[in-house]
Amino acid sequence: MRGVHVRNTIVAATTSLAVGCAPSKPPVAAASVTVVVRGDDATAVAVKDAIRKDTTIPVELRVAEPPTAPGTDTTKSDSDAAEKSLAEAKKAYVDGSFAACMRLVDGDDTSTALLVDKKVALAARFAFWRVACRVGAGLGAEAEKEAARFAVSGYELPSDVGIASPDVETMLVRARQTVTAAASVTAEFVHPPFRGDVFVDGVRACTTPCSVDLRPGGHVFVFEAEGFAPEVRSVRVDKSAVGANAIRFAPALASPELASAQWARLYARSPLADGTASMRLLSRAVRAPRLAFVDVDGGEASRLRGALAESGAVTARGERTGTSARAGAELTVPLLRDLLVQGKVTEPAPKLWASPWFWATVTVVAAGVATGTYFLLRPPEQRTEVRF
Amino acid sequence: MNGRSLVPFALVVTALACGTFALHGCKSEEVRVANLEFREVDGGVSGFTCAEAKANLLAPATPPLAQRTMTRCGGNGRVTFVADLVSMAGGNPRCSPASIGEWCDSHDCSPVASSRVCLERDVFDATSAEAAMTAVSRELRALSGSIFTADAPDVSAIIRVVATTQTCDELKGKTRDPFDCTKLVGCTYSCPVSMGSLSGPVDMQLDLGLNIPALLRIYDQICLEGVYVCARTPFGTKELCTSREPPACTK
Repeated sequence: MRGVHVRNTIVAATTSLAVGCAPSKPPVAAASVTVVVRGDDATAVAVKDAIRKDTTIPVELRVAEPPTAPGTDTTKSDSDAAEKSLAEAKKAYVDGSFAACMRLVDGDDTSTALLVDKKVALAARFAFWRVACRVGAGLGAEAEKEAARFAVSGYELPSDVGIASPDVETMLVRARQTVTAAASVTAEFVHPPFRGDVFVDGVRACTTPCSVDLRPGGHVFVFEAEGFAPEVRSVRVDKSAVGANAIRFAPALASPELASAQWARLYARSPLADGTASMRLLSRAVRAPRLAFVDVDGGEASRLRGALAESGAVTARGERTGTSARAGAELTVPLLRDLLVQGKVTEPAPKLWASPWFWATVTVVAAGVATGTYFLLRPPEQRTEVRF
Repeated sequence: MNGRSLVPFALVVTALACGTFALHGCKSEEVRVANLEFREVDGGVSGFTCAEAKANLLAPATPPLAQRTMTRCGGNGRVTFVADLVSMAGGNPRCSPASIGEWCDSHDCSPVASSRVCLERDVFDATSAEAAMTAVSRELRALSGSIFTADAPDVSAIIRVVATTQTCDELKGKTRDPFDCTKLVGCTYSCPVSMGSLSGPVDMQLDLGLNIPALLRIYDQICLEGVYVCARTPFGTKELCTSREPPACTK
């Protein structure tokens, strides 16, 4: 019975020791942080190399290139197509082919697309030729209607007005006078929580939350905000419906490609690149929920500024300044380490005195010093030799 | 800076400590050297010129004890020098025969066994008793420079050198009363000294306390008994030897 008790005690003690010696937490996968470096080529390359070669930071560092502006301008091809349609419509008008003329300029999609791209002059020309083609075709009522839309949109008369019949110009001037005489209607634009720009018929009107006085009738509203896809609304503003003109935008989040384009346009060369808005946009652009941005100023004395964002929110900022232009790469890892600790991604290095190695070293050093001191200070061995 | 980075530092410090230890170990010994200086008296070394017995009218010139080294049938004799550190049993009596004798009569003044040195020497050209005495003194002086003990124990002791005709083998292992008083040739000793701090010359003589001129008349007897006292082991004045050696054969 006593033997069993002793055996159980030994098993319990061994188990306690084993538990005590085992890691208290299961191994955790290293956190991943995407690092975007901005700076002149040579310095940025050196900084990126330093990041890639570093093994001291206990997170997985992934270097991503900063977004650049798209190489091809898609709006340019749209404009070219629109110009071509207008040229053909003009020719058809001159040739008396008014049906063909209308076919070439009709359709709201093209006009809306042009307004989204802020090509107001082109959109005005489309609207003008819609009026002119109908006047030519003898469709007076429809022409009046299109002239009213032209006036409501606030377009200026295009230079094409000299080619068309004077009746067209007369109709458009009359329509403008009619629209101008009508009482304006207030439209309210809301987009919580972020602010964004509202464009009315291709012209920037205000920044949300805001309100704009508009002529009653159909308008194209475009809402643009950083990190969101443009939202287009074709709305008929009616003075009879009080309160119905409050427009609440709900844009979709920008795709990474769109976010990249926005960041490249807004922040690629901006001193505010490490700001909150930029970091949020950049996180989306590089698809990095945890993002570190390092801005390298490779002047005579390198200066590195950095920011760390977690899910788009900046959690840490830091700055390091070196004494030479080449110090940038050396400063990178300490800066990143600061950011990660400040942003609570990694634990700060344990205090020296908290390390068992420290105490082991202190013990060894103390023993060594004590031994050395003893042997230095102790009196020498003495012996007496007696000779005959 | 984490703790592991301190390890090389610790190793360096430890190496330095060990180096210091090793370096210090090389120079850590301090040797004090003491030389026995045998006092000279008329005819030889003090303690080695005593005669066999008290002179009287019938035998006005008794032979010196050194004659015991001579062989009865001629030829070279042999003498054995036995050097001892005789412990003063923790005391430090005054340096006078009476004080030492009293102290050692009441204390165990035994030789330190590990310090005993026994040396046998031939006595050449001893064709007469006087020549033998001279030869014994000469052999004793010839020991000058040789080491008695390289590491004397740190005790209060007197250094004693006894000359006898007994061989080292006969004396081996005998720490109490090893000497046959009929074979003693001479004896000399130092004042009580502290061996731990001893250095320089050490005066060796057979102090007979004869600072009273009247005592000189009985010198021979006192000298002989002085040798007996000196050679007694344990050191002391009790139960001295009374036997006499038969007269030496003279060729």
